[in-house]
Amino acid sequence: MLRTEEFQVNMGPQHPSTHGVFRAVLSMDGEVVESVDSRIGYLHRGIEKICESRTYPQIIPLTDRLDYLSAMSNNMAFCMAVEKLMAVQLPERAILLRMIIAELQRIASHLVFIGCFGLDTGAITVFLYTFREREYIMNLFEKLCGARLIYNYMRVGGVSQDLPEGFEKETLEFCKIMEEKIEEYNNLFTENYIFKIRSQGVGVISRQTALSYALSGPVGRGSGVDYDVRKSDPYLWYDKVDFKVALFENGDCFDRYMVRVVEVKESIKIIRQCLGMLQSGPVIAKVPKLLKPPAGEVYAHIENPRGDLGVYLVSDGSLNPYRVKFRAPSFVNLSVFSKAAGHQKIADLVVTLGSIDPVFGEVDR
Amino acid sequence: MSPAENFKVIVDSFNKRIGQENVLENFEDPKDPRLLTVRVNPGKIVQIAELMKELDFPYLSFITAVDFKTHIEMVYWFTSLSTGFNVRVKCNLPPTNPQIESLAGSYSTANWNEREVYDLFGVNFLNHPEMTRILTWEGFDGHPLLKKYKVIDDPDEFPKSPGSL
Amino acid sequence: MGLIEQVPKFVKNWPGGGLIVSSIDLVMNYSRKSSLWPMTFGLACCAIEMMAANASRYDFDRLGVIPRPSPRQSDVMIVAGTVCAKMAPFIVKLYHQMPEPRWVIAMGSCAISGGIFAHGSYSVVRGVDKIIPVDVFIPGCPPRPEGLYDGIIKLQEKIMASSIANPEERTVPENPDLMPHYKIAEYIPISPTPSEPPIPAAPVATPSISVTPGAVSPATTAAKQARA
Repeated sequence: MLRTEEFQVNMGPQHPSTHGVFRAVLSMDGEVVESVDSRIGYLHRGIEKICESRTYPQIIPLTDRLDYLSAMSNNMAFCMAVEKLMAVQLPERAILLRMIIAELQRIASHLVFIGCFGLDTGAITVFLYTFREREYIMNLFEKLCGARLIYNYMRVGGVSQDLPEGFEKETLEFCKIMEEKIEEYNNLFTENYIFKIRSQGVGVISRQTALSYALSGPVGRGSGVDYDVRKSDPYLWYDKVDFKVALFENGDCFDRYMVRVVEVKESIKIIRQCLGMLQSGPVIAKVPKLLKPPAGEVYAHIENPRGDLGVYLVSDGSLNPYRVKFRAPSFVNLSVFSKAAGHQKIADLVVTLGSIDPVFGEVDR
Repeated sequence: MSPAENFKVIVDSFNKRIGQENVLENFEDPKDPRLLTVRVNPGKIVQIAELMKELDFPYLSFITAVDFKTHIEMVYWFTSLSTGFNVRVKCNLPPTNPQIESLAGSYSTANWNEREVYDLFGVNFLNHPEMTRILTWEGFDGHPLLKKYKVIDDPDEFPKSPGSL
Repeated sequence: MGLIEQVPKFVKNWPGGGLIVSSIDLVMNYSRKSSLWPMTFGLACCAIEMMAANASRYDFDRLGVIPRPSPRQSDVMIVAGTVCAKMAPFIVKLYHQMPEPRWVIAMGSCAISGGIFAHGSYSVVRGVDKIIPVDVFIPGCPPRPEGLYDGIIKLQEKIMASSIANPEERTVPENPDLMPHYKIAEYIPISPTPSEPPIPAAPVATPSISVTPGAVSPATTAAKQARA
C-alpha cells in the first residue's frame, strides 16, 4: 500500500535566499517542514582571537567587518567600551556627530532589509527602489570618510574627521526625500494584499519565547519585548532627543517588518533634532597616541539596527586587549529560527529567515 | 528604587537562596553604577538562574568565558528590562577538565551560547541537549581561544587544527 | 562542443584555414562574453557591493550579466568574501557543478589572499586560488561596483582573446587537508516505520531532492574523474 516517509533536504550554505552562508537541514513531510537543524560557522574567521594580537586602534577596522551592513555602529560600540574603561569625556560635537551617523546607518541597514525581504516574498521591484535610496546615504558617507561600506571612521575619543562643506544641507534634503519614499513603499508594498497574506501569521514568536531566547531589536519588539537600549540604558545624548519606540504584539513577520519601517521614520526625526543642536567645536578628545587602558573589565552596549550589540572588554594594562567578546545580536536572534519555523511550508521558512534579518559576519565572527 | 538599594536586595536573596558561604564576593563598579557583580561557587549556578528569573531579571544577555592562565572564569550577564540594571555572575573553573551545569533547561538562549563556549574554550556543560561544536568545523582538534593555543600562521598552508594541546 | 574543438585540426593545412578558425572564434567568444551569467556566491561584505552592482544605480543587466542562483545555469562564479576552512569543500563542489566553459572571479582582498584576516586567524583560507583556479582578481576592501565592472570587462577581454585552437587547461589544486570535513548532509535516522511487507523496488529514477546514505551523486563521480 502507499505510505509516506520523512525525507531530508539540505538548504546548503550557498542558497539564493539564505542571506549569506547559512545551512539548514530540514526534515520534511511533503511540503511541510517538521524540524529544522540549523548549522552556522561557515564564516568563522576567528576575529576574537585576532583581536588579542592587535592594538586598540588596529581593532577598529576589524569591527567593521562584523556586521557589515551597519559598520559605523560596530565601530562605535568598540570605541565606547574603550572610552568607558579609560573614562574619556567626549566633546559635544563628537557626540552629536556620532548620533547622526548612527541613525543614518540605521536607515541604510533597514533599507537593505526592506529590499531583501521583498526579494524573499517575490517582489523584485522593492529591491531596486530601496537600493536607489541607499545610494544617497552612501554618497553622504563617501563625502564624509571616503568609503561606501566599510568606514573605519570612529576613533577612541570621538570621530576622525569633521563634516565636509554642505553635508548638513544634503542630509536635510535626504530626510525630506526619504519621508516621501517611505510613503511610496507603503503604497507599493506594505498595503499589498499578497505581501500581507505571505507575512501575517507566519513565523510567530510569542513574548515568552522571545524573553527566553533573549531576543532584542526589531525581532524582540515585534513580539512585545519592550527593550530598546537607547531608552533603558541611554548612551550619548539619546535621553535628550525625543523619539518613540515601535512595539507590536503579534510576533509574526509582518510585525517585524513594520517595526523597521517605523524605526526609519523615528530615525529621521532624531537626525533633524541633532542637526538642530549642532555647534562648532573639536571632534575628538585628547587621548594619548599609544592607547593603554588601565587593567579592568567593562561592557558597553548600543542599539544596533539588528538588536543589542555589546562589547565585553578585558584589559590587562598593555597595548593589546586580553579578551574581547562581541555580543552579537544576530547570533542570539538566529537561535530562535528552529523554533519559529516549525510546521510551516518551505516558502514560509524563507520569509521567516528574512524577517529575522541575520548578518553572518556577526553570527560567526 | 536606587541602584544601591536594589543591589542590596539582590545580594540578600542570593545569600538566602544558596547560603552565605557560596557567595564569594560582590562589588559594584565606580565606572558603571548600574552594574552589580557577584562571584559564586560554580556548583550553584542553576539555582542562581532560577533566582534571577524571580528577581525580575529574565533576560540572559550572554554567557562567555575568559582564560586567565590559572583558572577559567565564566561570566553570565543578566539584564532587567524594566529598570535597565545589570547583574554579572562570575564563577571560577579549574583549567584542566572544566565543567559546569548547563542552563539550557531554564533559559533557551543558553543553548547556543554554551555550545560556543565549549567550542572555543573546552568547558564541558553537563545536561546540555546537544553538546557539539558550532563555529569551528567537525574534526577540529583543540579549543582556539585558550591562551595556550598557538595559531599556525603560514600563508602557504591550508588552515588545519594543530591537535589538542 | 566537442565537434567544434576538432575543427582546427582539420582546417590547419587548408589555404584560408586560419580564417575559418578565427571566424568561429569571433562568433563564439562574442556570444559568450555578452551574456555572462554569474552565480550569486556572496559570502561576506563584498556580497553587498555585488548586490549594489546588480541594483538600480549601477545596473549590471546592460552588460548582459544576470545573477543566477544555481551553479548549473551559470558561467562565472564571483567569489565575494572571506573563504573559511569550513566553507572550502562546498566551494570546490560548486565549482565542479558548473558546466564548461566556466570562469572564476576572486573579488575583494579576502578572496585574493585572506585580506585583513591573513595574520592571526586559524580558519581563513589565504586566498581562494588555493582551492580553485581563478581567472580575474579584483582588489579592494570592498571594491566599488565600478571595480567589479572593471573585473567583468577584463574577463570579457580575456574571453575575446581566447581561441579554440589553443584551449586553456585548468586544474583544480590538490588539497589533502580539504577532504576530512567534506560532508554535505548526514543521514539522521528517523523513527522506524510500522511493520509492513516491503514494497518491491520498482526501476524508477531516484528523486533529485532526497539524499540517501552511501549514494554518490553524479557530480562527485564526475569530479573524481576530472581530478584523476
